[in-house]
Amino acid sequence: MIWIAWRRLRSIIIASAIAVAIVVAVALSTGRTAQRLGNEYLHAPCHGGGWSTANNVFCSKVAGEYYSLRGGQGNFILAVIVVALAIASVLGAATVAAEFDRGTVRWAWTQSRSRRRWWGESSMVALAGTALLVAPLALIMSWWEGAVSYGTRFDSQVFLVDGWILLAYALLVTSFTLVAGLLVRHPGWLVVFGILVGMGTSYTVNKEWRTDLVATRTSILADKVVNGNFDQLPNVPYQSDVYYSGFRPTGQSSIPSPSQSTTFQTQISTCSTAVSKVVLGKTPRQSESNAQSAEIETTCEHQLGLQLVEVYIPEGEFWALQDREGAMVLGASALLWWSGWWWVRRTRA
Amino acid sequence: MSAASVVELRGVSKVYRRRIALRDCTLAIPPGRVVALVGSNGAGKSTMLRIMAGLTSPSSGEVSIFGHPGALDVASHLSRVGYLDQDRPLYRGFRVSEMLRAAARSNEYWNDQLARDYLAQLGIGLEQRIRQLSGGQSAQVALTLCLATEPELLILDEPAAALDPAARQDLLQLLMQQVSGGNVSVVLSTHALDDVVAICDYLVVVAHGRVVVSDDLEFILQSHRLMRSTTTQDHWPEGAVVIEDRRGIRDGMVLLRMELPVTDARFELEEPTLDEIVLAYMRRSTTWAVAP
Repeated sequence: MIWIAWRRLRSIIIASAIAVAIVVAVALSTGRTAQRLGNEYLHAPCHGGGWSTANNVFCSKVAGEYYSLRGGQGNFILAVIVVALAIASVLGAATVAAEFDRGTVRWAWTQSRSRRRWWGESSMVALAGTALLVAPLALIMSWWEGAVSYGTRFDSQVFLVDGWILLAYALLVTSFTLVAGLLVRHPGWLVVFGILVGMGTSYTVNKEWRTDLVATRTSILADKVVNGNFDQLPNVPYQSDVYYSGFRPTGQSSIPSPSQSTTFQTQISTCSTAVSKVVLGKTPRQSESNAQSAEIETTCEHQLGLQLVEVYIPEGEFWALQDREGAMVLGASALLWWSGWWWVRRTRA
Repeated sequence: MSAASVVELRGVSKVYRRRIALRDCTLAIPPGRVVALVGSNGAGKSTMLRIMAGLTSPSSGEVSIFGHPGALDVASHLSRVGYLDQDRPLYRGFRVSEMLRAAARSNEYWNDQLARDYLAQLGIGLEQRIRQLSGGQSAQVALTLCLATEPELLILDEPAAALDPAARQDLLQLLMQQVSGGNVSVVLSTHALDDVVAICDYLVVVAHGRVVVSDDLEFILQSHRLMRSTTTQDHWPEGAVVIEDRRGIRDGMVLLRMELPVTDARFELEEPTLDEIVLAYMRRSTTWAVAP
């Protein structure tokens, strides 16, 4: 059965390997170009922007190319995610749904191998194929992301292609399309459905659960406000994943809901306006200095029992988050695989 | 139910979402026979064969193969049964040699030499791709894959359907070659009653999901008689059961099943053909179809 599954999937695996090779070549090329442009831009004579008039033409060109390359990264990352999930989806759908679609399952299930053995061996070939094809994508994209240095690694798209989480999601998609193939039995639709399920799951995990997977840190920004410098976040390390920034009651550890956050912000604004009238005897508040404004807001925070906080996951937790989310996704894949193993004896050909 | 039966169905029904495919079918097929399963399209033949092959489970009732009831999806059972689906599903991207390899790897027992001999006999090259084979050749390859596992029970769903006469002849010859060479039981569905007479010795007629006849073919032919009559008589030979009364219709025939020898010379009886018997049972059962 292993040989049969391999023989059936061989052309798909070869075509996918070519697609992976193209992605790897593009990533290598653009990554190395980005590294070169980055070095030229950051070092002499361009100095990261502080270049002399004599170098204006060269440095403008370097800067233009560098930022243009970085600007196009989002689309490339999205393309890589789609390629990886498409490979995973096609392999899963071709393994099970295509057997039903073409009726060959009626041949396979009447040879002297049990259905569970058919399921186990066929699905293992599909999962191994997915792992072998997506692993190079995950590796090259981890390097590429570092080379191009696009935003924070916690950015939802970057997180998916950095580290090994892409491999976990690809295996989830393969497992899903394998199991769904027992019911849907139309490989074309299933491929599209599999990609959507993969992207939807990663989006949901990012939106709802990711921040619960590792311990978050909280930065209380009273000092920052006093300093009046709203553009810097001195207590939050660079590249951290900030997922709440706003007021919350002093002593509360949970994150306020969006509506609570708005309410707290409104209370602070109302209070600040009132205090400003009393203390400074004038409006509008724009006439205050930053220091005055900060002092007024601090007064209001104390009056209302609120504090300005930023809740974040430090960059150092990146791999812990990858491992935990990856384990969760792989666990879901295993559960799906097992449900197929259970269901295959109960379904009809 | 005889313990010696190869296949036994007891009160088997199969209901798909909104369609009843089989209704309370009871059947016992003796070993070493070539059984023809005949019936109109949609009568439930394929469903019955798929249940026998373990591809689908009955909604109710019990199936046992080789005297073992219960789950049919176990290697020990599957290795004793060969199944040929009516769609003759083969991996279209494979070469014939790769199909043989696939079958060899999927079966506990595989007679590779037998498979190669059969294919050589049929003139099918091992390097030909499945997708390039004609319908007849595909059927022959599919049957070869079944035969080379040398099963004790062969379940064939319309093996000769849509084949030209030459391909049909080759396929049936291949089948008979195997049957004559060993102790194998065959259950095959067909619409070709000529084939039934030529190769089968046991007949099962299925109509509207019910088994309406199941017996030795020779006995069926001997136990039925046609009586021509233009009268409105309502008396029949002693021990005769009216299967179909077509008086008043064009041919004016009455098909009788005789349970006793006819000694009364007043009755003019003729031997019916298999077609006449089968058609009479199929027409007769249409009245049952409306029953729940």
